[in-house]
Amino acid sequence: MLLVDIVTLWAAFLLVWALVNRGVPIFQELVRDMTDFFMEKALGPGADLFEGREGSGTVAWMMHGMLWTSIGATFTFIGMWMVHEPDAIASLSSIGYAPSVATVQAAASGAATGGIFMLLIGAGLHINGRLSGSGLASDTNAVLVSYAFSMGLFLGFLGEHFSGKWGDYMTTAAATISVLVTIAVLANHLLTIGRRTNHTIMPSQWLIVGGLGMPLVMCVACYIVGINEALSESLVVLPMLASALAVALYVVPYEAGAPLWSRSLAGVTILMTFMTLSPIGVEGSSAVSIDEAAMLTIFYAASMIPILATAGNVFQTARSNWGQASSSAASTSVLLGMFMLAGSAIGHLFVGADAQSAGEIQHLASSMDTLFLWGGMGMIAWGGVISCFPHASGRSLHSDETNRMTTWMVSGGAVLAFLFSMGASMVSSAYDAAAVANDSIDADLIDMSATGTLDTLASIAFYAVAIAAILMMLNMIRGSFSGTPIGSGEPASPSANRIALTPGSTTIRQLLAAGAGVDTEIDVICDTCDEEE
Amino acid sequence: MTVDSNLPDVTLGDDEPPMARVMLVVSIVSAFALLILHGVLFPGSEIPALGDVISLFGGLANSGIWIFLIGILIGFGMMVATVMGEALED
Repeated sequence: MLLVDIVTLWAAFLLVWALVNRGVPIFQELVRDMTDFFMEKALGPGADLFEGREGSGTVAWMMHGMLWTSIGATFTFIGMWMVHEPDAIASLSSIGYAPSVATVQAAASGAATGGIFMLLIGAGLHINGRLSGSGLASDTNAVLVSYAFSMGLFLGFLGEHFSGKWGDYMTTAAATISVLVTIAVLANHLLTIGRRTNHTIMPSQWLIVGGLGMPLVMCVACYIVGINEALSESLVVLPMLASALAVALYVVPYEAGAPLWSRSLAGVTILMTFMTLSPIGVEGSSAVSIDEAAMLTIFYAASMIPILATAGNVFQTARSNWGQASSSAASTSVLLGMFMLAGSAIGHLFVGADAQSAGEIQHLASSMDTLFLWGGMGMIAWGGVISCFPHASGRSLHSDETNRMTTWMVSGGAVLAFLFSMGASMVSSAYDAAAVANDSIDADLIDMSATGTLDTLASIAFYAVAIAAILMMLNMIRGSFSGTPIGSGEPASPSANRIALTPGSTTIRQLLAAGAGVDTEIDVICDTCDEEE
Repeated sequence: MTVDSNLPDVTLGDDEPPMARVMLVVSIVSAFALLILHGVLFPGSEIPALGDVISLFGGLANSGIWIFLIGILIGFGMMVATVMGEALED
């Protein structure tokens, strides 16, 4: 029964909340020491392969993530092109590569989703380490599992190209590896929070831990009590969505240099992200009654609340220091991503609700997925890379100009590809409906060149995204090898090294007017103080 | 209310746009110009694929997608070259 499953979901959230807040009674130290042991020492020679320098975990996840994002974007472009020209890469059959359109699209979706998720995980590792105040618990483990996750993506990518038993084996192995890696990353996050020196657990940390932990807890619950398929389908997107909201709630205040605008909106984001069901990615109808479908629709609608709350929160935060926020490519990227995420979530609400009832607008699902993955998740992940990668690697990215250019290339390409592909699918659907309604129309005689043109324009628009991913990868490689070391740059504005004051009251305004900066030393000179003492 | 000032209303700055951005804009404008020119000179005909222009690729690249894929392949090649170059330089 769906209602019981939803109560199980809420119970899982309460369990995660209690465990993170209070730890495991009695066994706390034992669990912590054992996890610590399994994270590094138990891995033996595997852990010795990597140096575990601070920030190396984030760098490894982001490097792998951007590579897979480039591969995913390339194959998404090819898949979009093959919609209107199925034989576009037929000449490659001479070297044994002749995939169908569905194969290319499935492989592209896996690579792109995995790549963007890796970028978000990398940003999450950096964010949790910084907000905890103690750094990440184990960078060595983070680096090691990034290679494992990448291997899983590779197996999944290959598996999509093989039909039959070997394809199934590879995709099963890929899924198993990704679950094991998620457990390792979650353990790393929990250890980091356990060692925190900052007392408060920030909203981004809750979202990161909940996003990775909730689907795992619900997997266990599924084995024990059984979970409705509709609920499982909604949980698929949760790790990526929660991680993206976590990145947005960190990057914008950090880049704007202003506190997060509203504490209560952040609280609403955490609570409603894990207590509602997201319609994003829901495309097939589940075995639910009409009453349960109505209940699902209400939960789907309620899932808009955390997204709109986060969007409002980060936009108001940026507004409080608009000059600094808008001049940062990372902040701009996240704000654009939040705008597109809100749009795609509203679109998915209608598509997801329709999937459980009439199924009349399912032709829009593919376009909505493009907007969500590349416009929403992709742009927020981009902001995470631009903001977190330099601090993790200790070197700035090679070119700020490339940061800004690729931000606009991805956002423009994703929006235009969404609009053109949605236009093509709507025109195609209208032609089909007209042919069904009027028997005298021969479907084969209808001129479909308009949809072909729109599909061509969609694929050309998406080409900008593929090129942007490659340019960003180059920017990251050059930055990590030969970027300017962080902290070695000249101060933005000249300030006095030392200011001498006499005892008495002084305002900050007077100090700033006298040329003081954040690094200025203040000496209070008092000739009579020693005599008084 | 008019404010009298010895300063001119508009002054000229010294900054210039980066060459990469200039080249990008010129490339996009050139691509549009060539597309329109092709439409005027050869109305109704398909845009030539890579194999139609370079006979070496006649058997391989008989679709317009290869014009785009060449750019992507160059990009991935640059990735490999950059990693090797930076590693050797280190």
